[in-house]
Amino acid sequence: MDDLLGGYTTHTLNDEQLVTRAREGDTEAMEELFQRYRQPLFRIVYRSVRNQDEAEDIVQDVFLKAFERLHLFKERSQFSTWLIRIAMNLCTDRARQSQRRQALLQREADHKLAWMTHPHPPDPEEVVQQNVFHEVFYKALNQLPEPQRQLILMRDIEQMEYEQIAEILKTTVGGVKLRVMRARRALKIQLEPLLRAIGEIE
Amino acid sequence: MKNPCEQFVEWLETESGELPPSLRAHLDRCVHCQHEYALHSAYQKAVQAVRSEPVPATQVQWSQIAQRLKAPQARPRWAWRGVWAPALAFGAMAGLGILFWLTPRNHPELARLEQTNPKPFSVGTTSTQSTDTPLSSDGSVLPMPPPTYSDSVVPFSGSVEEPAEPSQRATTSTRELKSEPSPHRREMAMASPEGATSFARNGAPDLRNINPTFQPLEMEPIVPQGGENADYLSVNYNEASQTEATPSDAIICSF
Repeated sequence: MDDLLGGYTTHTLNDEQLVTRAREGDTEAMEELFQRYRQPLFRIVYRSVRNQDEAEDIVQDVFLKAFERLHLFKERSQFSTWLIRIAMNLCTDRARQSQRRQALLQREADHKLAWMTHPHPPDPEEVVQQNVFHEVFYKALNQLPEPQRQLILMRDIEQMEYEQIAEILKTTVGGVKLRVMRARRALKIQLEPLLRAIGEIE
Repeated sequence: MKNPCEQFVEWLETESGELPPSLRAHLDRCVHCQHEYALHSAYQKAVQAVRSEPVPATQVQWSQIAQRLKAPQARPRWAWRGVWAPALAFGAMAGLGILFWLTPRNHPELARLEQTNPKPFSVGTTSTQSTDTPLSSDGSVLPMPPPTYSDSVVPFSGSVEEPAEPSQRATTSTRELKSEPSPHRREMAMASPEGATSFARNGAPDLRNINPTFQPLEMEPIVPQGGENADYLSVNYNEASQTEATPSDAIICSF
């Protein structure tokens, strides 16, 4: 339901105005912020954890934390950037807490990729049809440290601007570029044998 | 100046647009760069595949968030946040204090030792009968008497004697500071041959009666530790010093 206030509805308010109203306890402003960012946030989190239930839990926690600590948001960055920062921190925490789960997922991924080490690999066209690139990519990505994983996801998958990543990570654009470059190098090292196994490179 | 291979890798990593013609020519003949280019292309392909991967729509609803947002308000968490840490700290400190206060008094071994062993020598500064002063009437330094602990060693007198009562011994020793040594102490000193003093624990049997071959350890001579520049104030027990002492003088002794 739209809340008429000064001739504006919550749909027409920008993020800053909504945040101001949400700080005053306006739940409709909060809901509007939630509706705006729930799917983009879910997409980022889902690509990070690769599990719908877990991603939804994290998204809920992100919005809860954000609204509970809205007084700490200094508006030096965009609200969406602040949300992504919270999401990335929660993803990192989850990754640390669920080492066992990661090991299980790794075993599962190994099982799925077991055919790659088969002496007679399937036809490359068939490989493309099976869309194994996802599995190859995530298998290599999961070998990286969490900060490098997040950088690859933010820059190469979500195609965020360097400036936004710098705001999320609270660092400089130059620093982000350097870290992304290193993360890519590390990822390519992990990817190379897998890509060779599927015949993508010689 | 970077070589073409380094320039090519830098171009790949910095995403700097079109490949310059010079590097394209290098790529045609460099196997290493061809491999790097193939790996980069495959990487881009994998990234594209992941980007195009469909992401399911989230099922998270605002009602779930709103419900959880209201929940903490019903519980006065804030009321306890600032209380636990100080309370725990106070409790820990109180516990340690009680433990420290009770342990020495209740320790059975300490209580037994207090009952069985005489108290160490004291100069009796709190005694009403004592008139001890650090200096004698003529200003010379009076030496401190040697301490007489129940388990300390004393010159062997040649016969086993029961130790004096602690209170009596303390009083006697205090008197000895101001007057001549007691006959008992002088006797003990005379019984010890010069340079080879025999020792026995207070109240202990003479070991030479038990084992004739027993030889007491000889005392090592005292060697000054301070070098040639060190001055030592000579001290003779039970005698007033003949050397005038200054405030900078100190008597360092060990037992």
